[in-house]
Amino acid sequence: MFRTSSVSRAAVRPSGAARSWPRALLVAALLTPMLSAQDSQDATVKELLRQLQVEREARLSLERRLAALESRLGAPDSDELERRLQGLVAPGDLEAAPPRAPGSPAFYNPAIGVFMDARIDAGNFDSRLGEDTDDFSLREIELDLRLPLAPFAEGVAIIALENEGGAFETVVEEGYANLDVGTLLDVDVDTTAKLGRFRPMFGRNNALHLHDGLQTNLPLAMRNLVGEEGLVGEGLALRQPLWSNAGQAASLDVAIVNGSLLAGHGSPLDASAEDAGTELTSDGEILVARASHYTELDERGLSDLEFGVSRLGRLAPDAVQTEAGAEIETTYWDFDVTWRSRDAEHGVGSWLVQAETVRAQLDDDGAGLVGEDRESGWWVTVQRQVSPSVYVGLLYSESDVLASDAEQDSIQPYVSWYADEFFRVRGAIEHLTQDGHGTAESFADANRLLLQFTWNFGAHQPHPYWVNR
Amino acid sequence: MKTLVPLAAGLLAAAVLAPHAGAASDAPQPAPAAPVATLKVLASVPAYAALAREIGGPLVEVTTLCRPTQDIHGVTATPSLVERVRDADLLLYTGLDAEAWLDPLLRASGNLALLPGSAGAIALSDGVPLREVPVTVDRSQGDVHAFGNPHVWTDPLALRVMAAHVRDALSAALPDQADEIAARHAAFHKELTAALVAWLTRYAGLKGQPVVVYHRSWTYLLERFGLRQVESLEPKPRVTPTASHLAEVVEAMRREGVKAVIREPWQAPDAADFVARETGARVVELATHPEPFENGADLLAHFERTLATLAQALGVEPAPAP
Repeated sequence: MFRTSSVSRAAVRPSGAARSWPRALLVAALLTPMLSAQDSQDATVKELLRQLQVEREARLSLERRLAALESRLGAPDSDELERRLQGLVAPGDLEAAPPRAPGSPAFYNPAIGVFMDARIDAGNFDSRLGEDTDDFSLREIELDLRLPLAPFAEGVAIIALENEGGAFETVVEEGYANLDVGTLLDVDVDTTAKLGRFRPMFGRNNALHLHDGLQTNLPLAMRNLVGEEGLVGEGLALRQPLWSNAGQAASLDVAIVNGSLLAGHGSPLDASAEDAGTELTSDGEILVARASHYTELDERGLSDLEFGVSRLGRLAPDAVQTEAGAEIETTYWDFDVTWRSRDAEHGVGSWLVQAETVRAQLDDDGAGLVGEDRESGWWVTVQRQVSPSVYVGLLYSESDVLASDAEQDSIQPYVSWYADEFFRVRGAIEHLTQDGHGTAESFADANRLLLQFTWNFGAHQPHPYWVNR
Repeated sequence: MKTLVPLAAGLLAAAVLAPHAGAASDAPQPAPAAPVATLKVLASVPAYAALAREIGGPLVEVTTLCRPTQDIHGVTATPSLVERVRDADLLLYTGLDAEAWLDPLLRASGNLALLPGSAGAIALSDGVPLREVPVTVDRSQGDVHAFGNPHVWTDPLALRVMAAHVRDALSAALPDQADEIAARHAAFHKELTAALVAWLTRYAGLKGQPVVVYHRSWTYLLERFGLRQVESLEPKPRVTPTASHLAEVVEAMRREGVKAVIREPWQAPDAADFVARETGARVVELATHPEPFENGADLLAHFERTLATLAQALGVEPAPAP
C-alpha cells in the first residue's frame, strides 16, 4: 500500500497561509485602483468641506465684524435722514410756505348772508280758512349781517323784506348784540346775553326763522295759538348753562321783552282784537323762559334727547291790554322733546322725532276778545334721511282755535331735497280738518300743495341754518 | 404634636407678617406726589389730537371735536362739544375754513382764549404749502374752500410743519416743561422723517397709479406719493354724485385704467360701488382720520396702514426697506 509522509504532503500542497497571500495580492491589485479613486474622492470632499468650513468661518467673522460696526454706528443720524428725504421729495417741499395774509382785506365788514324763500301754494285753504293762498310768491328775503364787535360782543342784524300781498315791507326781523357777560364784567360766569330785538327761546323751534324750519310753515298749533311767524320781541335775554357732565347739559333761557311780543304784531290775539273792533297795546313786559336738558344717548354722540319746558307770562298787568285799558292775562306753557339719531357708518339714515305741546291761558277781563279761554295744541314730526340729500317726514298737529270752540287737525307729509348746502327744494301736502262744535264751520276737505324753494348766498353759513341736518 | 403644628404655623405667620408691620410703622412715609399740571388741548380732528399726544405726552390731556368716523364737514354743535371748548386751554385746528362749525361752538362757549388769532388758537395749516387754491371763488364751483384744499393732515410731510407748531404752542403754554417738549418733538420729528424716507422708498411703485376719489380729501397724500387723481365722484365739492357725472367717471376710469376708488367710511357707498362694478375696479374704504383715537392714535401706523392698503388695492408690491 502506498503511504506518503506528512512532509511529502506538505511539500506537495502549499499551506493555508501560503495559499491566501496571492489571493490577497490579487484582490489588492484589483481593488487598489478603486480604492485609490475612492481615496481621491474622499480627499476632494474633505478638502471641499474644509474649504467650506473655512469660508463659513470667514463669513461668520465678517458678520460679527459688520454687526459690531453697525452697533457702533447706530441708526442713521438726523442729518443723514434729512439728506435722504430731500432726495425723495420735490425741491422746495421741505420749505415752509410763506405766511398767508389775514382772510380778507374787508375783515372789518360784516359777514353777509342772504336767504331767499319762495313758495308755491295751491289748494283750497283760501276758501276754507280765508288764507291768502293759491299763488307763487317770493315769501321773503332775509339779509343776515353779523360781525364780532369786541372781545365780548358780536353784532347781528337780520333785515327781512317780507311779501305782503305782492308789496314788500322792510322789517327788522332781528337786531341784537350777543354779549359774553363774564368777559364784559370780568367775572367768572358762563352767562351770555342778547340785547335788542330777537326771537326768544319758547319751545324748541321759536328761535328758528321760517326758512330754517323742518316744514314750510309752522305747525298748526303754533300758527293758531302763537302766531304765523312765532314770537319776536324787544328786550333782554340771558342764557345760563346750569350744568354739563359727560354728555349731559342743562341750561336756562330767560327773556324780558316788551308786551308787543303778543300785542300789535299780527298774533292770534291781535286778530281776536280786530274781530272785536279794537286794538291791542302794551305798557309792560312779558317774561319768556325755557329750561332744557340735553343728553347724549351713546358714547359717540350719535343719538341725543332734549327736553324743554317753557313759560310765557306777563310781568305787569298792562303788558297786553286793549285800547280801552282792559288788561289781558296771558300765560303760555310749552313742553317739547326732540330725539335725534345719526348713522355712524355712512352718514345716511338719520332720524328726527320732535313733539311739542302748547297751552294758552287767557283772560280778557270782559273785553270781549277771547273771554276766559284755555286753549291748547300739540304736534309731532317724524323725519328720516333716506339719502345723503333727501329727507322725508310727516307732521301731525291738533289744535284749538283761539276765541272759539273749534278744533283743527292737520297732517302734512313732506320731502326735503338739498341740492347742495345752499339750495333746498321742499314739497308738502297739508290736509286739514275742522270741527266747529257749533261755533264755527266744520269741514274735512281743506287741502293744499306746498312747494318751497330756499337758497342762500354770501358768507359761508354754518349748520344752524339747516337745523335738520 | 397637635400643639406644635399650630405653634409652628403661628411662628411662621409672625415671621412673615412682622417685617411688614414694622415697616408700616417705622418706615418714613413718602411725600405725596405733586399733582402734575396738564394742559387741556382740544383738537378739531383726530390727527391733531395724535400730534398733541406725541409731543405733549403726559403733559397734555387731549380731546377732539370730530370723531374718527365723522366727516369734518358734518360736525354738529352740541352742548357737550360746547363744554369741551369751554374747558380747553389750547385749540388745534386746520384753519382754511375747514371747520365752519367751530365759530358757533366758540361763540357759545365764551372761551375767548381760543378765538382765531389769539394765542390759544393754533391754525396748524400755517406754513403748509397748499394745493387746489382757486383762482376765482364762487358757489358755482360747489362748496369750494377759498383758501385751498384744507385736508392738509393727510400729507405726512406736512405733519412736520404741524408738529413744530404744536411744539411751539405747548412750550409757550408750559414754559417750565419746554425742554421736555422739545425733546419729545425732536424724537417724533426723527421718527417721522425716518418713516417718510421708508414710505417714499417702499411705496415708490405707487407713482403714476390712477385713482378715483369720492371727495377730494386725499389730494395731499396722493400728490405726495405721485398717484393721479383722475376724477372725483362728486361733480362739484359736496354735491351729491349724479347719474350723468358717474357715467363720465366710468368712461374716464376705463380710459385711464383706474383700478381703485377711494371712499371714506361716512360717504354713501352706492356711487363708489356702481363705478367699481362697471369698471372692475376695487372700492377702497379709507378714513383720513387715524384710529383708534381713544387709546392715543398712532399717526405713523395710520399712514402705514393707509399706504399698504392702497398698494394692495393697486397691486403694487412695496420695495424693500432702505
